[in-house]
Amino acid sequence: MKKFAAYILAGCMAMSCIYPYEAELDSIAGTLVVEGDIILGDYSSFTVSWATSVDGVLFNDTGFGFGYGFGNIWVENEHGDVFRQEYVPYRGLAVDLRNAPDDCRYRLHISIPQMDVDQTYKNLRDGNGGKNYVSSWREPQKAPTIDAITFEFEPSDNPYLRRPTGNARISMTAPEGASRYFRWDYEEEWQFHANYDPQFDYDFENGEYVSVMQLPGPNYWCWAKSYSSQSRIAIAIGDEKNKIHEHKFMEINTGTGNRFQKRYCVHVIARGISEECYQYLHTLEMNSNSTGDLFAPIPSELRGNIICEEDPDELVLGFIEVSRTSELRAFVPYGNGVYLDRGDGPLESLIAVDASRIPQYYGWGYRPVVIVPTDRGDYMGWAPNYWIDCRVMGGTNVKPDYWED
Amino acid sequence: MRKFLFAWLMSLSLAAVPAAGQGTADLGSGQAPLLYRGKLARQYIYRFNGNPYWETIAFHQGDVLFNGVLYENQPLNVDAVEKELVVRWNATYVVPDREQVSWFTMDGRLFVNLQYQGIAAEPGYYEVLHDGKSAVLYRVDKFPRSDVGNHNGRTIGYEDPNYDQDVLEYFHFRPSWWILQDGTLTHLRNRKALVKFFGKEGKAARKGLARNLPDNEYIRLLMERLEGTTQTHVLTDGLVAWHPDERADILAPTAGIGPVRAAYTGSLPVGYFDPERTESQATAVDTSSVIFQYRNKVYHIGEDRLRRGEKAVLTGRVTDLEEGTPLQAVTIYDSNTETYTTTDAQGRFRISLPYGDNVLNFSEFTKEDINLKIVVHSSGTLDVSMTERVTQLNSAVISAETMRNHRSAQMGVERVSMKTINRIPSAFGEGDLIKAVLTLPGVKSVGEASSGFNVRGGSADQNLILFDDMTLWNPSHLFGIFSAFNPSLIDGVELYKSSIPANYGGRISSVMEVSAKEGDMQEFKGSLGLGLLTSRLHLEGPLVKDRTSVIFGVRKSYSDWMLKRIPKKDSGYAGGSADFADINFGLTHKLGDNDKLSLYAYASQDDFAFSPDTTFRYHNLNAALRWSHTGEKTDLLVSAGYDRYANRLDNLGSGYDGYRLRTLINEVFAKAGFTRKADAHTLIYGLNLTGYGLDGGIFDPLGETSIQEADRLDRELGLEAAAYAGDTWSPNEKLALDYGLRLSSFLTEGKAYAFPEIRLSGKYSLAEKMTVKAGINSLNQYIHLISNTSAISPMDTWKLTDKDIRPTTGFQAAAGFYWTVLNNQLDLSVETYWKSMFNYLDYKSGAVLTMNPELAKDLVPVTGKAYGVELMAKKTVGRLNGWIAYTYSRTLLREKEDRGVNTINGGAWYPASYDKPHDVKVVANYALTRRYSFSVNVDYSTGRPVTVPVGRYVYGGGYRLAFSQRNAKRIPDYFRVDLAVNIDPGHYLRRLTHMSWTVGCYNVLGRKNAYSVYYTTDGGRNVQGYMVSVFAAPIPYINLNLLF
Repeated sequence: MKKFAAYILAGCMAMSCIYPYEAELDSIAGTLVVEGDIILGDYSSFTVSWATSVDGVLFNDTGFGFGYGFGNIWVENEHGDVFRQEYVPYRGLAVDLRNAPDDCRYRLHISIPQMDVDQTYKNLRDGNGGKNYVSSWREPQKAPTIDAITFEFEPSDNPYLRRPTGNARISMTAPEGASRYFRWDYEEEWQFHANYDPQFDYDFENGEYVSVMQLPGPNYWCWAKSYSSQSRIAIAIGDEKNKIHEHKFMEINTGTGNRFQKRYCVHVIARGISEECYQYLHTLEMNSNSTGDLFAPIPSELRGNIICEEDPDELVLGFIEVSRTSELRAFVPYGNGVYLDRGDGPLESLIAVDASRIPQYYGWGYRPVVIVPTDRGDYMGWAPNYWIDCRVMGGTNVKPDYWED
Repeated sequence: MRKFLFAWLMSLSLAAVPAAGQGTADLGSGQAPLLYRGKLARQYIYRFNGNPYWETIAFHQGDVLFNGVLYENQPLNVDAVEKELVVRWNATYVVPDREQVSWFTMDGRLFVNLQYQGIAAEPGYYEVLHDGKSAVLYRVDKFPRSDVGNHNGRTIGYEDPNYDQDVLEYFHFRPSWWILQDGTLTHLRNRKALVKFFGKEGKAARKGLARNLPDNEYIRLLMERLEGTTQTHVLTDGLVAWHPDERADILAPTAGIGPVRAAYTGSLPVGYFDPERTESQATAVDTSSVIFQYRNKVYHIGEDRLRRGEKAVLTGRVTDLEEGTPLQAVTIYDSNTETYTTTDAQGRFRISLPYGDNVLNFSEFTKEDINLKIVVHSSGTLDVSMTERVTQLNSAVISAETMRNHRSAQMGVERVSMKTINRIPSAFGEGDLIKAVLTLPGVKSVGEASSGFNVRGGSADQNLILFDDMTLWNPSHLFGIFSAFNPSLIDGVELYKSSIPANYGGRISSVMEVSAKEGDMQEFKGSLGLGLLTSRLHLEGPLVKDRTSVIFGVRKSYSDWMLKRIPKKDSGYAGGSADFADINFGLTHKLGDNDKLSLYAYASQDDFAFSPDTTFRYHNLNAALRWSHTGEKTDLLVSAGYDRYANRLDNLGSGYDGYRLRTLINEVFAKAGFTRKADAHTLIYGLNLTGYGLDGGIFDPLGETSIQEADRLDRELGLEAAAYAGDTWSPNEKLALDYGLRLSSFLTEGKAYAFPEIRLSGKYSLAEKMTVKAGINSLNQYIHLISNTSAISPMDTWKLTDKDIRPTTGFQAAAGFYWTVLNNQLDLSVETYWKSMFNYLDYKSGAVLTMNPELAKDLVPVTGKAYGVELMAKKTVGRLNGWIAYTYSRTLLREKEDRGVNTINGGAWYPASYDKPHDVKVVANYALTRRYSFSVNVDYSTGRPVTVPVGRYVYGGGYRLAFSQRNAKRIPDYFRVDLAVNIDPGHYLRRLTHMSWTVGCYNVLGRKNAYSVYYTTDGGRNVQGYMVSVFAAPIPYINLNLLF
């Protein structure tokens, strides 16, 4: 009896009461998705892509780029100025808004050509009989002042065994009369070095190893960057309605990679956004993060501020905001065992190269690094290029102007 | 024919039996001897199976030594229920004061009052079977038994060939034997015990005695063998006037006043035995409070002070004869003047009658009609007890709205008795109050096993759930599988869907008033219920008989214990737990005839976990003290109490991020309500005060290793105050109006709100059983459930109205048509309504509801409209009874504020999450035999709206899900059939316990009804939909109820 009852109860409460469910759903496959903001005083880039059904395939799923460069895109302001998307060196397709004025509203135009899978197109930016989309007029949002970027680390008793962890916090102030909603992107920048700093080179003319005269070598120190994949948003609350104070926005683990080998900083690019934009981004985030729970918040449709001029009822995804930006860079100070340089790589990773095969090894990208003393005598240790050239590990050997030692 | 004759004979004989209740005998003219001047004997309705007397209902000739006076050749009997001697004088049956009765005989058998003889014994009389060196005494105790709620609705009775098969009440019979030896009275369970008492002598004496002799004869013979003829008679030797030679010295009965040995402690007025007392004084006393005695009797009300043409006021109270509970909505109709009134919730009535002869008709659908001949001399009181109407299937009588529908202006009021509730099949078999309410038209839930319910388009938090004036914030246990109410301790429930009286407020959709039982004032009894997941026990009885009673109940689940015994690898269920318990305690004390004080307390706790590191707990704690006063013109009910609801989430996490999140509601309230009846008016007025202290979030680190920071949202304080007045005006039987005004206000930090609320409804009878009604009302709500799930969940929080969140306001207009056909067997009704809601709170997409100090920013005030039509056919009597209901209803919301792209569904109307347009409910009971009945419950409704993903896209550096418009899709329709067989106890009159069984199957079709649909995604790459079905298979159950 009790077992019987127990199984009944279990049957009702356990996972067996949850069944895969496939509903006949309307699909939004083919819905236009537009991403990007009109950034005054800078270049603005926009991407165009299309949504797929719940079980459909996205461009990203296949690893291909998507939507970039489709259609004819331009920004218009109330003065009648038109800023067209052009190719900009080192930036790709972008709209040059460096000289755009602040005293008027802006909107984005997108013209998507009619495309036929059987045709070949030379210029996809021509809207040959396609559809035209336009965002709502938006007032430029003033840039907030980034008051400070601070770091907080939990000290470690033995930084060699357990690396400190911490977080970065940001404080911002919106100018008077500006929105109290903030959006910011950030990037991490750090200085690191290659595993080996070669002390020798091989003189092919003389057939001998020669000492490198300058240490460190030009490819020993590098500077790398990592962009945050998602923007952060926050709202000023509390007594001061225009400030966010030490808002935690990222976790930092000093043991991850080589970020804290030498020097590390965070670069924040911030902008004010409207409440409408904030809600849009907030909902976007919640819709993505809070599914799969019986008590999860109710998600809902996100209809952006872009409409199709030919069919205003057509769903278009994406929200176009107009902003100016501000930025601040902050270095994590020394101390508390945050930085730890474990030196060059271990000697065991070096190999000895037969003299007759030196050219071959050079061709493979190996380089002589250091003389390794052994019981059978010294030999020259060689290492692959990606251990001795920091650029191969993702960085540049050009020291940024702003970099602090 | 035989049945008819027998019934006729019984009605004739018992119609002459005096009525229940306290009062004094109608002396008529002339002074009666003292023996006949006691209180009236209790009347028993003829439907009782068996009789309340010592043996038979026939009165025997006998002698009584009363107050030192011997009364010879009197017609006597013994009421074995009341333990009283009953003497018949003329047509009146009177109980002589037991303290004055020494002994009496009936047909030559001697009965003694042992207490009178100074022997420690139970009150009452003992028949002397043997009197020698020792005396053997026989005693009969009887207890009227009838159906009561804590029997799980199964009436206790048996089939008697002499009666109709629907005889329900009977007298539990308990004989006992006693031996008096050396001044000590010893209880003997049976004749074997007597044999054993005398040891070897006893065994020797019984040899040769026929075993088939009746017990008393057997005992007499046995005692004669044991003691033989003796000169010693331990009893009769001490009895005054027992021996004939003593009788000459005893005063003969006269109409005069004999010596009074002790003061009478019954209900006789002071000075009753005063020799100087005059007849006129006696009359004045008698007519000031007339108790309903005989149906054919003429009742004289008041002293003869009025003149012809003048009017007097008759007040009184109508109660249920068996249970003593007040009867509401009894219609009292005077055919001479065509005046009528109805009783209120306390059973009180007040009617204006002209001088002279009147005939009053008391009618209530489930009760036998009563016609009383009243002669009005001046204003007076008349208390009436009504008996339940005998129908073919009493075991499932529905508390029908028939008479109310045609005579009361109120509409949209549903009353369900525990009898009905217990007949409706429910998961795991335990009678469930809320699940029963859900079978009514216009009441819906978001899904089975979900807490709360939706009434006419209102959300779950728009229902005020009162439990004897206390507010229950979470009315469920075990995720909603069980309601918070222990069925053993509930009298019934009233649900106001539309015409919410002015004395209620604070919620805009409905008021559900649950009445707790009071402890029995007469005897101790109880019940035990055993189910698959829960057990419950209830005990009740008098602490001081007729004065103070207590009731106690406890219910405990053993689901947790069972879950721990499930092999985890087989069930896929690991680390979960679920457990609950609740306890009720009630104390009632009569301060006098018109005043009553009651204390009630309720506590419950639920614990459950979906995984070992995350546990939930919530508890209700309620206590209330109530004082009710019944005045001649005005009744008063004052109550004060405390309600608390708290929930808690413990999340251990991975150790360093463990936290505890709590929310808490504290409420104190005080209410004073007056009811005044005047002619065709019933006035109500009063004050309500409710203070709130609400903690919306208390966040603490959990565990020593947790690095979480403690946080606490500011405590919210608020005071809700209301004054109200209302009137029910019934100028004639065709027309009735109910109107009232409630001034509702709310004071919170920095903000005050005040609104007048109107209540207006009326009815007009097109024909005797054909009525139309219409009404409007407005209400305001100052506390809101903050939940973006559809049901009440343990982690929901509540939020008080403040400067940012305005009160929710509701207006409702409703109209109905009621028609009773098929000889009053079938009630047909159509009700339609329109409801508007303002400042109803919906949520911005992705709103953060926990620990959000700026919660108002995530809430969206929306406008709502709800409309619908409810059709119902209810068969109230017959072997087959029940109802079929169809409801078409819509609940739509719209965000009026333009928030640009974030405006919900672009500002268009969208369905509420509990909008289910089509709803069909069938509840039917069929009595196969008296003991076996069959119940079926069918429930169909449109699937509720949900918001589902409809696509994927890339945005903001990651995969995103695109969702449909809010509530644009629906989960599959809901359909469920439940069956149950109810087996009532059999013919076990002599047993102290009675068992009934319910065997049934919930969701007999095994349909996988969707409770919810949700989707999971791994970062937006793959999306999988899941359907949660709470009871995805047939749930067989068995439930045992034991009454003792």
